[in-house]
Amino acid sequence: MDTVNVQDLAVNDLAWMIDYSYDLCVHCGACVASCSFNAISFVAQHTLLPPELPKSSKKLAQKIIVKQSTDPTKICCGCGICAKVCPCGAITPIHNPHNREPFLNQAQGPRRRGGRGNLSKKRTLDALFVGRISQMTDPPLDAERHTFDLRAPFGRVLAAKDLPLEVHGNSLRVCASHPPVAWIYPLIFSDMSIGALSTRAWEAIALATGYLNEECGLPVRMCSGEGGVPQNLLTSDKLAYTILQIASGHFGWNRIVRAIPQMRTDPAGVLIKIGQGAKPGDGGWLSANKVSPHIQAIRGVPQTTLHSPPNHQGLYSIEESVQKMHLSLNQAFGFRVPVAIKCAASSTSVAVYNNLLRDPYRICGGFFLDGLDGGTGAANTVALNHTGHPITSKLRDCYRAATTQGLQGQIPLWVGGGLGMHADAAADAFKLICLGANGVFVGRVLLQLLGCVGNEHGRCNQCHSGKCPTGICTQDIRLVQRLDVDRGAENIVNFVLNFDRELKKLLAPVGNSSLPVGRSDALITNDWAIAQSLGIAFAC
Amino acid sequence: MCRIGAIKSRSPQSPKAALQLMLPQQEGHDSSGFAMVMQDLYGAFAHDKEKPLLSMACTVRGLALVNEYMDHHGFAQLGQWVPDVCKDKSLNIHAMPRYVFRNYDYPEIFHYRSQAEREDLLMDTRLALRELLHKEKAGFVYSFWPDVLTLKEIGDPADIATYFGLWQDNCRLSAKNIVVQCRQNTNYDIVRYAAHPFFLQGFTLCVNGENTFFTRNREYQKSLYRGYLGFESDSQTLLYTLHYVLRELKWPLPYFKHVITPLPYDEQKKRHDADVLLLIRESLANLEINGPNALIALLPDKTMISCCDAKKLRPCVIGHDDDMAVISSEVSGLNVLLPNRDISCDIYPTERELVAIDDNLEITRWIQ
Amino acid sequence: MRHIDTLEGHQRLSTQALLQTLEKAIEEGETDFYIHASGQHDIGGPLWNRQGKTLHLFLSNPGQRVGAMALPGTEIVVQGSVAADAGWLNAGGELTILGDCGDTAGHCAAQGQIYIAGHAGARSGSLMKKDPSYPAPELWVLKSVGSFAFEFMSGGCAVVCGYGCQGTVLGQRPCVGMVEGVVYVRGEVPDETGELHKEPLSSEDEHFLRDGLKRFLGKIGQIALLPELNNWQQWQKILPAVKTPKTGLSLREYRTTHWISQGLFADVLPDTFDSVGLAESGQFRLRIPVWENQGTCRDCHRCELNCPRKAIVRSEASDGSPVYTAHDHLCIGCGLCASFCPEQVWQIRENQELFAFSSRDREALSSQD
Repeated sequence: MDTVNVQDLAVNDLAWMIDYSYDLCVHCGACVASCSFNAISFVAQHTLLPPELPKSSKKLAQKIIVKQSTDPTKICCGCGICAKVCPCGAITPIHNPHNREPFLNQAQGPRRRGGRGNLSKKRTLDALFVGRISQMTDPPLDAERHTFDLRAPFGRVLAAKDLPLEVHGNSLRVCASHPPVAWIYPLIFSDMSIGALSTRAWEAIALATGYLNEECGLPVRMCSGEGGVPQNLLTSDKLAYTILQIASGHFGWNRIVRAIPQMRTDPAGVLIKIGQGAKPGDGGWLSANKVSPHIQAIRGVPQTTLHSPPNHQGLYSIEESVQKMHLSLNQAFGFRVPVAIKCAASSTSVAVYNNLLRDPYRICGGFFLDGLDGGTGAANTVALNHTGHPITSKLRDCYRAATTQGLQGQIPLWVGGGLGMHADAAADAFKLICLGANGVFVGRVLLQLLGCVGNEHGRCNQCHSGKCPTGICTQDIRLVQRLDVDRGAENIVNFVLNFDRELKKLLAPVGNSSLPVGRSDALITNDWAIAQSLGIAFAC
Repeated sequence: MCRIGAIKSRSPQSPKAALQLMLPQQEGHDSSGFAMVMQDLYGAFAHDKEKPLLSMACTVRGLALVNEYMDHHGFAQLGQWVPDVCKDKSLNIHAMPRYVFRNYDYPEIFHYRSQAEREDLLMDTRLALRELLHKEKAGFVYSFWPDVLTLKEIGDPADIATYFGLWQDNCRLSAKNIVVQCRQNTNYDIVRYAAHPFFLQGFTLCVNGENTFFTRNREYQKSLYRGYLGFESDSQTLLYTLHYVLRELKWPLPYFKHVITPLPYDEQKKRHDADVLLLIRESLANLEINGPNALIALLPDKTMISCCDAKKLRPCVIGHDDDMAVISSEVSGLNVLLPNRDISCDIYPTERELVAIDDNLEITRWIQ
Repeated sequence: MRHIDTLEGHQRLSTQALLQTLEKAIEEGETDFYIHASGQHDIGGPLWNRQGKTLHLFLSNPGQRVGAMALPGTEIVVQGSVAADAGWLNAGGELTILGDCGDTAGHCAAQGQIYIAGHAGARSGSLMKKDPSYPAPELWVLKSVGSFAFEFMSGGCAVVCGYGCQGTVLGQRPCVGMVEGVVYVRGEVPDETGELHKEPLSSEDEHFLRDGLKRFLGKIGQIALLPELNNWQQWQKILPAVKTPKTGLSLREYRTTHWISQGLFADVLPDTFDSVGLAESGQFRLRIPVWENQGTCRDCHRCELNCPRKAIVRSEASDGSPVYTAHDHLCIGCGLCASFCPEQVWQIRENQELFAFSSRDREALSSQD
């Protein structure tokens, strides 16, 4: 027997323990073959058989069993692919509540990234209810029968007195240029980069976007993320559904700029990413093992771990951030394309929003606020667990700051961060819209729809590792091949169609056919503190 | 549903006509009040039509406060009408001690000022009086404008009319335009200021319905113009929107309808004036109403308008003959005032329509 | 004939008082009434004569819900126009309006006839229904109807004659949610949603309309219009929409016919878009077994016998020594061969043929950042 020391890793130190039943196993090999983490293998186990006669010698029998690795580079993350492929129900990972992983990680263990906000947090949205129902004072609508007008502005909206309109007899005419505003579906597919996502995952989201626009009549927009944009998309008319993102790494922008003369249509917009809710104040990070040749090509980088700095290097003050960056990107597309900005929700968000609202050049076309419940597999766990700002009150603060100045609606507020965590994105969206959001963005939900098996309870969440067993967050061709683009896209399409139905189901009982932006009277809460903070009715 | 009505006539009409218009619609009354605005006055106010007329209800102390304020600010009192009230105890009316309907002359210095400056003066004076009376709990001021009279009270409309002697043919009030409602459009506390019609700088508006976008309307309007205040009723916002679109933005009348009930986005996009409609919708999204409404308004140029919500949830009908046009929630009111009209000329405004009746009783129907 | 006046000066008889007066008179045997109403609601039903005699009501200026819940044997004629809900829940009465109707005329009518000599407002005919035990309800309108008419209609027959109408005869979004019944329309019918099921008239339809129009026009005193309305070319009928399940493109069809040819990444990473299972043989296996015999193979056949995919084949080298080969097209890389091998001849290696990010990346991983 080998010596086992106290510090040696054993299976019961790990977060996930493989529950394997030899009696049920038919040795088909599927579990081991499919494990992208190499966390299990077949080994020969020798067991001592009871002696047949008192004096006969001991006999050893050999059993081939599935054994879990304790090698720190091959640790089971509980993804459950083994259980999924096992024809006999002989194997499944079980969460080990007595695990020592957090401490092992601190002690130079293998994992200090990933997860989804691993500490349990109470969501404000779950304490809100749509409590103002049309009962006799006014008729509720019929979600199936009435027409609804679910569109949200993306772009800089001018005050009515500043509109370039001239009276001609009994009609008005536009007499000068004005900032571009697109009316889009109030749900944006959030920025997840090529690199973070596999080609197939990214394409599935793009494909779903195209389908929703062309086959379902829903002008849903997808944000590219900061990992560049495929050349084929840049020169396609599908670019019209894509919001291009620029973040501190500026990855891929040389190719985007070079493609501008070849573009057949303008992109849907540009989103300047300052920060994101899951790891506020931290930049993007793509481990070298995900920087495959096509990523190198699209991003224009060698194979190495890619860091986006926490800050845009040229933006050293809020004035610069507002003017310089917006101006450059506005001019890149001839001032025809809305340019918006995305920040992690923060105690400073209102200050930022005020600056944007007061900007005399009116070139900011949207303020995207990302709350702390957002997910990213590559963020440091310490950031995921301990930094960020809940989205709900921050949105409300921004909306009320604008309202105080009579500027609400001029820079559309788009919010995200953990929306649809409990598979109720429409309810989350509706509540946020009532509190002042013009629309919402979702990211992680899309991965979940593509087949991601991760969750808030520590399952998988290995997006940073390059070993994503579902082929979504990896560039490993062997894994990417697992992802069925069409089925993944279909799930996303169905999700949006259902989101649309559910949004109408929430609009109908409050008697509204267009989005009730800022209609806080529609909400109630059973939490006194939340009621005070958001300025909505307390109910009990 | 509250019933609303309006009369526009070539010859001056007494309040009795308005009461008759509303009488068959009594199922909608709930003793929460009666209110009317009269414009283009005759009878007691046939003279001094260009001089501002103060309409208010107050306590004795309130009257003293107002007198002092008006004196101090250089307004000289001209004629007035003092109602000969019927103090029958059985009448269901929450009467105030004093009702004031009084013409003033502008302060000396304003004789040489522009129309716009005078209009601002009148509004600011009204707002100042309102605050003064509110602070002292001493009364309510409804309008202060040339040739416009507002009467409001809480109680049963028929009894209120009896109290003020409005049923009498020889009533000294008459006007060519009357907008009337026999119930407060409020589901909450009964407050005099919540009673329609509302008035602001020449614009009178009366609505029935529930404005489900009241909160966002109000939050936007609060900082839009100093005269937009009160918000005792969820439909006051419609008056402010009308005022904003026509007086502040100076947009043509049909755009009022586009602001309050914008066309569905997909339809706007296909129109030749899509650029204008989209800009308006973007900018004034906060002024949309969404919910059941029918409205009647009277503009400074005495054009009377009517329109409904985008789903046509509230009724409204317009009937007319050569001498009179009448707008009513229910046709039963028209049948009383205009029994011999050609009913095939009655107009039932659709959800996409704005009907305007000008001072020559010319009717224009704007389709959105 | 009993006359009832409802106004005395400005004192108005309440709806309740009027209806109780009316019921009392009917109880006393009166069958014919002339009511000078002043907006009172609900005049006309449900009323009945104990001997089964027909009740005749002539009304001027009734309020909402005239003829509501009217029973068979009640005949109501209204002089002039009425407000909303005329003939609401009509249960068999005959209601003739010699003017316009406000909104929701004939709403939920389930029997009887409603004849309207003018226009009917928004949502008219909505939720009309047919009770299988009784004759179907009819709603006749000489002019046009407002928007959202015949919503959720689930039986009966409506006729909109479009007389004197410029433009559309039905307003916006008629017949939404209609599941039964028929609406005959003369004139232009908009169809913004593209969901209306319109058909020309059949000879039975023409027969029904020929008789029905004569009756209708007679009731409203407009028989002279008959020749103008009897032009079947101008008529059509609306039936419940046949819900054909929308056969949209599948995502696969959309990708292959509408999407960017060869996919977004064709230039940098060509893709067939075929997907593989989680444990499959062939080039996308995660791992591969390699037979690294250093002369220790005992030729025990355990690997060959225990391979779940029968991927391992034994052959002999020229010197007669055994050679075991795992065939790529069968092997899934499970490593059972290695676990059964008593001499560790089989080694399991990463399948790096396609995925070339090697040890360096692992370092990058463990180095964190």
